[in-house]
Amino acid sequence: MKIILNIAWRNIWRNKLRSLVVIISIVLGIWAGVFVSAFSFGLNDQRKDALLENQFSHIQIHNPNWKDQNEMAYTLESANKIIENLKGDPRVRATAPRIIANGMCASAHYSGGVQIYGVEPEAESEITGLSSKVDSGQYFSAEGRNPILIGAALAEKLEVKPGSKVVLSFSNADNDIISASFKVRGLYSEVSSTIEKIKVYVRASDLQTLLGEGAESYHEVAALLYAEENSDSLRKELAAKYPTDLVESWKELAPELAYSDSIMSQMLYIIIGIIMLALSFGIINTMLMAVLERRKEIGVLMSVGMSKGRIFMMIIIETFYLGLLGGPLGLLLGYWSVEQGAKNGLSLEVFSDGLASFGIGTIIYPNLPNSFYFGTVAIVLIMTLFASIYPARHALKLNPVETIRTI
Amino acid sequence: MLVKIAWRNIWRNKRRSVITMGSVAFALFFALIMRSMQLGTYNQAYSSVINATTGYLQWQGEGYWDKQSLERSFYPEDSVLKRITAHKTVLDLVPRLESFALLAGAKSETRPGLVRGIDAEKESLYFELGDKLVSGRLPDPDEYGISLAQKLAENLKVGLGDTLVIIGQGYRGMSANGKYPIIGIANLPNPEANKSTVFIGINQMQELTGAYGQLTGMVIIPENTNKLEPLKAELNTYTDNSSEILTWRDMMPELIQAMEADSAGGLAILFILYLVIGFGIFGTILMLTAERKPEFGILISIGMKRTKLALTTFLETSFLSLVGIIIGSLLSLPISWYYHLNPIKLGAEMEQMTEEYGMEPIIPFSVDPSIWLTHGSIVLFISMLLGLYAVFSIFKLSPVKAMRR
Repeated sequence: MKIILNIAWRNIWRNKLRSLVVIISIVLGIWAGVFVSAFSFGLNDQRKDALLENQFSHIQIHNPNWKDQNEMAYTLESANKIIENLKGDPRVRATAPRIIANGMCASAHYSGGVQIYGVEPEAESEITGLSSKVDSGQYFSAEGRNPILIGAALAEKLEVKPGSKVVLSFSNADNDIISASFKVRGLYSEVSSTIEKIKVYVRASDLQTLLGEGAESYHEVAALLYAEENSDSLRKELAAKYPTDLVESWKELAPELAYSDSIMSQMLYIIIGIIMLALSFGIINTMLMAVLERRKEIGVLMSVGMSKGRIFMMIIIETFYLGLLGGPLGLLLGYWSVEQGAKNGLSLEVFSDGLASFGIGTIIYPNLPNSFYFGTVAIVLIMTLFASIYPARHALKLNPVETIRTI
Repeated sequence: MLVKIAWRNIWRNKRRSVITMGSVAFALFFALIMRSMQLGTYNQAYSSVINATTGYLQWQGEGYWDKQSLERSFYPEDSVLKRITAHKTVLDLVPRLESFALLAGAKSETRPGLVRGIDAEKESLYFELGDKLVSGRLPDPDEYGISLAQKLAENLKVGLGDTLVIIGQGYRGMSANGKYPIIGIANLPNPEANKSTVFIGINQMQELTGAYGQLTGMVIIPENTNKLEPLKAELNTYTDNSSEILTWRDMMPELIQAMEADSAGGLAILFILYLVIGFGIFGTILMLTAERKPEFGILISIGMKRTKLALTTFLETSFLSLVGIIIGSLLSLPISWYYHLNPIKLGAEMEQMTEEYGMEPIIPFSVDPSIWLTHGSIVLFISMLLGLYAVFSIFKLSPVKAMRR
């Protein structure tokens, strides 16, 4: 066996340039494949994290009717009790209640449809970091009458700045229309300009007073967890505890996020597989030529008594050497560049607006789960084995007498 | 003669040629299917969003698009209007006056919505609005009545014959409140629009908002949607400072960038694929020149011109990938064609994602011949570039050394 390993190793260096071309193509293919995968993973993770932290949190609880018809009347029965409960849970990082109304926001220059979020200033700041998103003006404080935070993009349309007044109109549970003037306290900015245009924040107490609702009246309770993995188990516990409410995890709230999360690695394995398949054409070709140009030699080996099994093994091992030289090098380069990218981030300034509408910033940090490297190794090994079979079989079919006879 | 020799040379080593062609065909097949799907999705996204929202080209008041407020609506000047209408590649102009307002039915709470004053006849002619009606009809320009989108009607719990109250802000801060009978309900394919749009006659809308004679935009229907930029530039010379012509690219840059980012990702994968295939082709060319060195040496010594020999080899390597390209293209064509006619329907999970962009949740493949041409020529170009290696080695070849082996 050791002899065969040796012979195979020497054989691949008999035509250096040809072997190098194959090895380099494997290195580049795997390197690029790993990097593109890491990039896609990073993009997806960033999008997920941004949307969970800024928008959905991990768990939301609503009145079951709220989902289909966002009507004022469908409030939660005992929001405060739920909040108390969640605060005591060690898995929960932050939790916040919200009262939500659909309405219009108008200034002298513009009026447009908005979602009015009545929030508890402190709790909201803990869960979505709202206070840190305020760029100009200030975050809510206890003082002042009817303060409002609006998105920078909406402010531009309304032509307002901190200190200006806007009028919000919305309807209460009895379908009466309520209009009230609010003073712009600050402008917030989000990665997504769509959100900036439709979400405005006011204090929950102000909105409850205007609506004539009690101080306990909320439509939504959101909870952010320390670890995303706990969202399913906590959702189940809460659903059992509050059977009359609808408890949803982010997977139900944003099914497209959960979906892209689950198909991401499948998609990338398919892409790596396709790249490897393309590589295997080159490997097959090279090895086949290596066999054909050595017909005579293989014939001699056969005639002097080398068994067919050994010849078969020799060709397969030669092919594996090519894969074993190229594969790890490609993976190492891939790993190195992913680490570099993760450290510094890759700037995609050119696509900033489009990425913002995806809900992500312009700096992408590639990131690849370790299991993916092992998966790639497996694909490389399988493909190399697959590519070695045809040339090796061809070598077996050679008739020693005929091959030696030719010049 | 040279072509014939080149062709026969290919078949001297059948297995190798077939594998090389196979690799080219495989790569191209995959590339074409992927691009056909991607570009088809973008086209569908563009056209569904464009038709549902802005149209390809609009004539608007200066600065309207950034603010989208009635204050920036404009009065279409007759002289300019006549010149634009007379332009030979402009088919028609469709007037619109739109504004956000609160909408209320008798049985539900109020909701914000977009009230769009339209010329029903033209909207039906160019944007098939009439075909989207599920009941009733669209209001005529002066008619006292409105049609609304189906999902919106459901949310407001109103139907045909009910009354809808519109509470809005009109031109120059006037209040724009009105009560209208519902005369039609339309199911709009764009999910966002289907939740929010109300159609009202254009003249009726001007009366409601007090913006008499004013429009927020005129959709220009161009003859050819692929040549918007020159048309825009030309039409812009007609207008004065108070109004301007915008293309959908000006109006929806986010949509384009999102699609471009996605497209760039796809191209990156294809780049890798072509790189790998390129190495495969290079390997073949390398072997081909190496094993034929003695033959080349003989041919040159008996007087064959190097240029002719190089050309033959060059043709040979080009043929190799050309056959692969043809096979790959032919294989991908029926698949793209099938999914072009029967678009893939997306699952419920993806629907929400497409809804965010206002697209229909289907993926029709594109059968634009330019995809086949582009990628076919990219692969051909790569292999021709690699074929130059054979050409160089022929010119560098020393016949004596080559024959000695």
